[in-house]
Amino acid sequence: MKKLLKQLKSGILDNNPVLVQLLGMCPTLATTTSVKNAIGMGLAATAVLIFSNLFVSLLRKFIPKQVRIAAYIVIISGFVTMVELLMKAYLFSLYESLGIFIPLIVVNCIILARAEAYASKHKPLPSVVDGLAMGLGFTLALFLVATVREILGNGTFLGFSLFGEGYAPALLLVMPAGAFLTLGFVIAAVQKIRNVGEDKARVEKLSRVEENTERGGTV
Amino acid sequence: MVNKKTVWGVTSIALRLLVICLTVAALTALVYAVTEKPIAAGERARKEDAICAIFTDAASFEETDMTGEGINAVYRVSDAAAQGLGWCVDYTGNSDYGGAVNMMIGVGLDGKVTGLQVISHSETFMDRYLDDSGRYNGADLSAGATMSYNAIRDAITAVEAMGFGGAA
Repeated sequence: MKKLLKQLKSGILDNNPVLVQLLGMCPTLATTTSVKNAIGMGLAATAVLIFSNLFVSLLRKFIPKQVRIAAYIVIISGFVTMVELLMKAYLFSLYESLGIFIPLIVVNCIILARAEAYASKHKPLPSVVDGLAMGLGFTLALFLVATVREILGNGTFLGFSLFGEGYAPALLLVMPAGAFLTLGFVIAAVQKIRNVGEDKARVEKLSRVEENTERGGTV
Repeated sequence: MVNKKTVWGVTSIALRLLVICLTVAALTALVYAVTEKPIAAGERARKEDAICAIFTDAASFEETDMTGEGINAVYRVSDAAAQGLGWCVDYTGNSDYGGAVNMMIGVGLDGKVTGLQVISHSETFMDRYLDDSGRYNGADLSAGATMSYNAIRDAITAVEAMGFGGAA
């Protein structure tokens, strides 16, 4: 249980697929003009990740090594199609907003990477948790970028106007160039937080070593 | 060179891949069967909304027999007093760029297009010609600036050429 929680934390924070592994940047740039679209895309990709990881893990002894990538793509595109049909039936306005980026989930690097790097080598339950963790990490990254872009670039959050009529939005942010800039700054901020945390841990460890050697004993 | 072991090896790989493809296809077909009705019901509701948006007095509409290129259906629209208001053409046009654009085009009793509602599209630039509800906002169509533009303009031209007019 503790192991699974650790997996979740890793996928969402330390090993975030977008902000740390730098995967899945394309949908991050394209679907983050509004927070609603970002969350929708994140959850759709999470659903595909969970099911494709589960399927790949269940079939990991059956999929021939030589054609494994082809097999992963078949499985992933199958589940993306199922998610697309379900969205078209029950979540039409989100389906329309995300448009062509729903089928593009098939070539989202994160899903293929996790199938190859994790699901094909682990049992089904850890694979499902990995899919959930990476999916939530993806959604978090999308949410962060979209929050900046929607609030500053459109003056709204989840469609609700924040600043009233007089606000002149920074239109650059809702355009592609702004997407790159925002993503860059978000990654930099996250790396800074991670580095600060790592440096602190390193300094702590070093000071413990110093104490032990001062006492003249063994480490 | 090609011994029995290699032949079986390759065949086994191909067969296993086939099994995976068939399983995924079966699951997808299952989801398709489940979602077919809700998707069709949604399409119909959106068409009804489009007709009502174009003819605000519309109380009922019925499908006519008119056919033509790009036409999915032509509805005769009447108001509450069963007076004819005009026609709505369910038209699917093409933008060379993104594919099919499904529109509901309202035609008044004079044969002129009164309104255009886009029901579905996969265009990236369509939004500048539509307002929030998907209604064509009357933007200038004289210069074919983008393909989405052309889809709307060609649809209006085609419908006006169909020669509606007179009593509905």
